[in-house]
Amino acid sequence: LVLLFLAAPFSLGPLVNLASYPLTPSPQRYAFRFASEGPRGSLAKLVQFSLVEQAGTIPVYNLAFGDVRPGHNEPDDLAISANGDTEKVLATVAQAVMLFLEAHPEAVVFATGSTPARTRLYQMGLARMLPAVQAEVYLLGVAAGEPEMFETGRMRRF
Amino acid sequence: MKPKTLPAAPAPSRDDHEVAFPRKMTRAKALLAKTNLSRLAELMPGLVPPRG
Repeated sequence: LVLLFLAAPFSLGPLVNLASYPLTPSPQRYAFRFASEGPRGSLAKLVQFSLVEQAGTIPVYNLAFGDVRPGHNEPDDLAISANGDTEKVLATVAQAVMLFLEAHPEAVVFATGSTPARTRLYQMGLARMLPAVQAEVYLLGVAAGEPEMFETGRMRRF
Repeated sequence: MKPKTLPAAPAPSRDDHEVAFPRKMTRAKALLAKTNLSRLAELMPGLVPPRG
């Protein structure tokens, strides 16, 4: 499992140049909604940040992300959208992280995939965006329970 | 004299107050329990201290 921590936006620079969907934030920016557009139509997505732990004075927020399906109360973080826009969706989630951290600069965001395959997908997507992400936030991985600065090409196993 | 109206507070949002992904929260708590979180402040210097 790969675990990531992101914190402290330095700027809103390169990430805003990546193709992404428009985000609709909740009033306090703990959640963001957007629609993925592709061959399977328009799919509603929800990104949510929830306080999960307090590390001393640092609040740690869990990043959760999934499809909002009509008629279901709970978003589905295991849904396979196959809407042909993975990179654009990941860039949109990254933008949501930046906007959340901009509104809550004291926060640290914790993220991991809901399945090992999904974690690999996120890690590959992150590797492609890495220069933009690392220009804007601290990015940590976790090895054997110890957080350390994130590096590409090294699987971080918990 | 007409009373001064205050700007309206943002409407309460389900997204801001409810955990939409409870299963992920449980998993995150379990993973974080095995992580040395005390290193976060050391690795990310300059984190803004909590407000208030």
